[in-house]
Amino acid sequence: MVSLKGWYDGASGISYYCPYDGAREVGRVFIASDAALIGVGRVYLFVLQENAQDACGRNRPLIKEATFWSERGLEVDQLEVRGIHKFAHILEHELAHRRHHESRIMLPSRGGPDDRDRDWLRDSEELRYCLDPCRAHTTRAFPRDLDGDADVLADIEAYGKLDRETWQADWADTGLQKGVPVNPFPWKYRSTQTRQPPNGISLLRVLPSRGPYSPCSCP
Amino acid sequence: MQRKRYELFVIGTTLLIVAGALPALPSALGAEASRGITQKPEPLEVIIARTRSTALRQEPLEAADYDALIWQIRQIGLHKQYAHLKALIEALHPDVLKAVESTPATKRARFHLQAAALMAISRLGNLEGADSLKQRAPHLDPYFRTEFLPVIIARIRTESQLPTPRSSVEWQEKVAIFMKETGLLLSDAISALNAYQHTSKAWPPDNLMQPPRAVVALRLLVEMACEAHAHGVSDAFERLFELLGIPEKRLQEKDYLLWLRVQLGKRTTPERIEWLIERLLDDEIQTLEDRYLQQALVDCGEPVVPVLIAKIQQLEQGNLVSHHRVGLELLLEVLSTFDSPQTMRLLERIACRADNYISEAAEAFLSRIRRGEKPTFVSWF
Repeated sequence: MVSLKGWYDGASGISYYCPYDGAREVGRVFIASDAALIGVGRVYLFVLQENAQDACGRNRPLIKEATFWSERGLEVDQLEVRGIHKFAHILEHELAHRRHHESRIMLPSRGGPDDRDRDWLRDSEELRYCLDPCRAHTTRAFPRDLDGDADVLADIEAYGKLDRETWQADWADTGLQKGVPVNPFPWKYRSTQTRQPPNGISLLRVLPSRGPYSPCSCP
Repeated sequence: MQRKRYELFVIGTTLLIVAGALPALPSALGAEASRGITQKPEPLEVIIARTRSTALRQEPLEAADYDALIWQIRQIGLHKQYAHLKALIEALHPDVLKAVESTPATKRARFHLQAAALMAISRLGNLEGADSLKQRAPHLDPYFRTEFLPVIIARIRTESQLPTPRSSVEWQEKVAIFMKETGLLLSDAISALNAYQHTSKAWPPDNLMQPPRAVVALRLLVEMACEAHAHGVSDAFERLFELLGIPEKRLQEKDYLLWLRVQLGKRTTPERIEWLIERLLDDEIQTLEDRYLQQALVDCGEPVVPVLIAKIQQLEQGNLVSHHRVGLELLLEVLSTFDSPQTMRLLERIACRADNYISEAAEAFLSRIRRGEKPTFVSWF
């Protein structure tokens, strides 16, 4: 079930998925005012670095944040989305968390022998999906937040959904596919400043799966 | 009449900016000065003005400007810069709260701004701040309005009644005043802490970031114990643990932040720096809790830089970099928030190392410095 929370009463907040056992909210995705159709939403983008090194010193593919070079140096790439696309992205992000909980990629409670870096992701799944079970922030994408690797997986799937499927739906009679003149497409990559993704960069749209890799004792 | 003229000026200026008739306000206010390395921090008032003007021009707030905002707010509270109280209140203006939402730096910009500003205001302990906060209350997010604000105001009132306890008796009196002002019983606070121990581990991370009012109260209480301890009440922590009925060693599992505050409070700044560096360096696994350690180290200020650089050089000379990859990455990230020439030189050297893991980390942190970004790892610390 998807619920709108705090949207109409003027409250603000961040959307989330609640997997609590025993709670009234169990299994529900809450969409809060961060998904409102006004303003710009930001989609975090990731790539797979094939020749990366994990904390144990092994060479194996790891997910990292997408970057590009500008006159200021190395910058972080993001996709800016507006309107219903902003809403759709946040919804898909939270639905991805729900899938990850239901498929037991994520644990209901962080920590313990299966989640040594305490980021809610099962260590074996981190190895499978090109993340580091010794690091809660494998990609270094969220330095200002406690969101760790679990959010990376949800972001990848949400971007994939938005890019491959969601945008093709017509939202209204005067939506993207109809209307004269054609509405401006509400996407902009920071790297290209257009709706086109950067050339030669393979942005992750599905979870990359590699291995199997055996667990290592973190250094 | 004068007020009317001022209002007309503001409206006129706003229209001119929107129409693009004025040169972009940021450069007029020294926006460039906030970026790059070895620049002096700007006054909060200037950063807020830039934040507002960015919103007026419907442009996103640059990550560097957002970082400067949060950074400066926290510094005012940590260093008790009373002259900037009005600017802290201004930072909670609905327009500023709205403006920060445009930043690409974080999804939770609004949350962090409220957390940082409210904590800073509570640290100033000025009654004028409490009155102004009540006016801002309707515009705060529900969590901050209901769980945070009441204890922030309680602390301000407590500080105004008994700012610096000089004895064990006075300290216990301060605890009693604070609890009375919060309207909470210590037993209720302990129950809330026990519940938080479990809920904070459950998804989503908001459970961790948004403790209930009683846990916020305990955190503020421990912060006040640190200050009492620093002012000569040597048994401030022991008295507090007696009142709470919790042995110190069990605090870590209940609320890491609470435990960490106590550990820091028992140490002088040089001891804190040494202790935090060792803890981070010995880290074999990077967890979310490391963010607290990193923020605590950053908050020790400039004295951190030479100690950190010496420690990292020691690791390099002893060929120990690969043995401490995870811890070293955390230390480099801390170092990168101090944008000095020594920092740049060290990061540039590490970025050239053969160890991919650590060279990539150094390169990522160098890029942050070059973009003028200075992330606050934990806004509510």
